[in-house]
Amino acid sequence: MTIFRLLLKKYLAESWLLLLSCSVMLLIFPWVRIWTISQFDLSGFEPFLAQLKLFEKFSPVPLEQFLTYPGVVGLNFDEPILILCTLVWSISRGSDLASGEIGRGTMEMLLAQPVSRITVVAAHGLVSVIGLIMLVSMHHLGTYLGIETNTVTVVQPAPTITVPLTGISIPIPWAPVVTSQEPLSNLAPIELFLAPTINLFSLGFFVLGLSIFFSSMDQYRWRTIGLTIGTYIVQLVMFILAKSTPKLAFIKYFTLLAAYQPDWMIQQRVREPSTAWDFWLSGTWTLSTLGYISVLMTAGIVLYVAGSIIFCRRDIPAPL
Amino acid sequence: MLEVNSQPDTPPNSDVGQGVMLAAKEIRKHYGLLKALDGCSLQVNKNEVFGLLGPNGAGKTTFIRTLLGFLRPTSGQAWIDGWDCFRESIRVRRSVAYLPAEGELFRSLRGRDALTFFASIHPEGSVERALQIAERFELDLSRKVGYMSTGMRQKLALSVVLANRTPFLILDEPTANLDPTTRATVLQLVREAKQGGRTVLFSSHVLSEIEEVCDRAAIMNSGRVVETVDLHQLRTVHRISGRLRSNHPDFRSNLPKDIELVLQDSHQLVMHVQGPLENVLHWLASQSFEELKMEPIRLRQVYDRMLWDTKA
Repeated sequence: MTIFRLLLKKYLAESWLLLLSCSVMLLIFPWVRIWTISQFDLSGFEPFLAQLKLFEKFSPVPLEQFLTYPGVVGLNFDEPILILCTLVWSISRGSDLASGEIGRGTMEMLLAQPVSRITVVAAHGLVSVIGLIMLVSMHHLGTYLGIETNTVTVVQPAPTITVPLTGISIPIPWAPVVTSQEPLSNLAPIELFLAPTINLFSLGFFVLGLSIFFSSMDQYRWRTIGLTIGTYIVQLVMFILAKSTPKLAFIKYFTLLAAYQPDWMIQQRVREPSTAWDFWLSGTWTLSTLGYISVLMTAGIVLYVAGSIIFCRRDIPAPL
Repeated sequence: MLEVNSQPDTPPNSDVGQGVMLAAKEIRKHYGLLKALDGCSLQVNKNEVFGLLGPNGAGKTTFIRTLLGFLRPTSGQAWIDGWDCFRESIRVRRSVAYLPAEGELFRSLRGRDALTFFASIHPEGSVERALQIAERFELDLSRKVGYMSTGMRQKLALSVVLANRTPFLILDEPTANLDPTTRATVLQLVREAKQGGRTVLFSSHVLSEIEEVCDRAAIMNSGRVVETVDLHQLRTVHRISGRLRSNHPDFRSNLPKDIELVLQDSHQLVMHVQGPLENVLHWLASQSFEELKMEPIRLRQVYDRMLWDTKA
């Protein structure tokens, strides 16, 4: 058995429990959430959303989108549980690469073997990325199952009468309200959520790269985790500040979290399906779906490569 | 993909010497103003057990870790089994089985799985040998590493390392945390490794262990090797201290050639004798000693003297 395969096995053995628990969570959560949505008439949320109009500037899309099934299913991507599970995986695996193993003292025994550091980085990275793909796939599967297994009540348009000679149709106000059960998949097809799922992966990949970068130069895992979470929070605060007032809008260029736009991607797919996967918005220098995904992926790759170089060149301190 | 066995198996630096397992020349490792290694040079011959001694912070572990690529040297050169330690680190580690002083095995694995992992990852590893050694240590391999005591983990790590059939064994504090019986087993395994044609670098604070198993030993202090001792030769050296009845002005000129006078004041004498004691005993009988004490020289005395000289 090759060294690489042995290392893959080792990293899988160390992380399978976390991967399994996060996967189960990400499979069940969107499914249950979509079932909950299907129990409500979305028009009932209209007065509630009207009260939130003041905060619309913090939303990447008009609040009305959340009265549509694609919009409200897409809110899955903003749920703290989803973000938490993704970040927990990325940060825990990334921080383990160097500072985790050094802190536990296991790096000493591992690198005492004829194993190159780049092999360690590659095996670790492969398991982390495959785990991340599995997590977002589980979320996508959960969303798919939620959409496919639920129906929603749809109010049929009121019957109309046509005014003779004018051709104008007028709804009959006294006509009984007719409702029908419609599969949710007709109203919010799963294809709408593919781009946000990839966007979620790119967010996780960026955080993984960030965590590996900090880990590669550290020997304390707690500090690596602290630095990664701290950086994420600073980026999040910058993102919120950029949204809060036009004067601070320029800050969005300094936060990579501005490239996590699942709701906007759903809106784009609904409105302009033909250009939904473009890099730029047509005729502008504003990023579109592929652009947002590329920004996060590029940042992740740069951090991953930088972390790998640092790890391969650094002194490995003696176990603590 | 990412195999380690891609390099040729002929050492390119065979000019180091056929009989030399480790050659280190002027290795320096500086951290700013701190000189962890300050021109450390050492040669270990093949098929010898070589002890590495020194007080805490002398640079023993730093020296070993630099040789194995954990640390990048500030300057210097080193070869193990003919391979350049700083350019062919992976090939060097194929020739070496290293027991770190503070190394830990993966805590989530059971003892048997840890042995299997390390036996599989090293080209010279063997699960069967590792299991045999673990059995000699009476180790419970069904237990998870995380639930083992410090001594048990040390035994497990020793089983991992001693099972590898590499030509060179580097053991950093191998008997730390072990009970006396297990210590004896470790020393026996070191002897067996030598009998099997392997070379051992044995770093320890326990002078009696070094004396017991090593052929030669180096004493390190302040990042340098300050003395190399041939322990076989040391075993033939005796220290004689005595007090004369009266002052003896011609004493120095009367000394037999086997005796080295280390100290003399008006009545007190300290001498070192190398080789058989017969002639010396005759000579001693002819002198007028009031008190006389004769003892074999111990490593402890050499060690203390070297450290004292270095400080001075």
